[in-house]
Amino acid sequence: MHPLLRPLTKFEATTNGFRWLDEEGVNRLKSVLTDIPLARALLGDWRQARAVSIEGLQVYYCGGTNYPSGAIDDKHWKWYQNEREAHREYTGYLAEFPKSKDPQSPPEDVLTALSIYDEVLAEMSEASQRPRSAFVRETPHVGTMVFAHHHALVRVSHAYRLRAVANIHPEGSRKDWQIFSMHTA
Amino acid sequence: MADILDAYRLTAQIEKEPFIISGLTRASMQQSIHQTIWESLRKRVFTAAQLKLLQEGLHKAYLTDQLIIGINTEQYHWTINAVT
Repeated sequence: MHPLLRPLTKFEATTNGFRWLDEEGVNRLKSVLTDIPLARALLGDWRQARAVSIEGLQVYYCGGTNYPSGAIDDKHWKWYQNEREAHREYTGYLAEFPKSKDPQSPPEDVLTALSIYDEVLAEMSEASQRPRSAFVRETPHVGTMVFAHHHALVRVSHAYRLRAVANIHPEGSRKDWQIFSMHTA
Repeated sequence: MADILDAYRLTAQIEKEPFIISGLTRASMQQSIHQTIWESLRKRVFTAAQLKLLQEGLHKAYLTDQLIIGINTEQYHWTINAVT
């Protein structure tokens, strides 16, 4: 069981829907996983030969430090702002991404911002390597629980995608590949 | 590469869930992985050993069985509900 997702298995039915038993755990999950942009314009689509927009993500995560330098036009800037505001309204959370004080390249800025997920991704990686790791249903309310942890898993996979793509960018740190080379040497 | 492998392992967490939505969620997660693989292939960052590892991973990324089980489960569920 992933410690991060465990709170999603614990809830009780009430006359007014259901109530999380571990609200602190659910809030932690929301706070770390809600602010990953789901827009295809940013995340890319390999089926249409569209790459992840590292420059767009830099603007999204770094609050427009490059704006209006030409990395993004006014229309898209407003769209990104609306996207973040929609996240905040829907979830009640808006992550404060770490930013570098010095100017960096787009992949470096994205990696700095995504470092907010490092602890979560490390936790997920460690848990998923356990031989009997699985999401266990502990309550009869299967439908509600399934959707809750699916949502979290999709967000985590997006976080993996963005970090891996930022790492393989020429200006990225390539830390990911260096670690792998050490394992396979 | 470590992120790709971790993401693959994550998709396996819901492999045994007998619901159609689980298969669709897994497909969505796999799209994320495929995007990363596609971009990595474009930039030619994989070594031969890494490509072999990916090939093995992609062979396991087979959704049809899970979706068939999901359809059967939900058909059974609705049939039971209709009868009772």
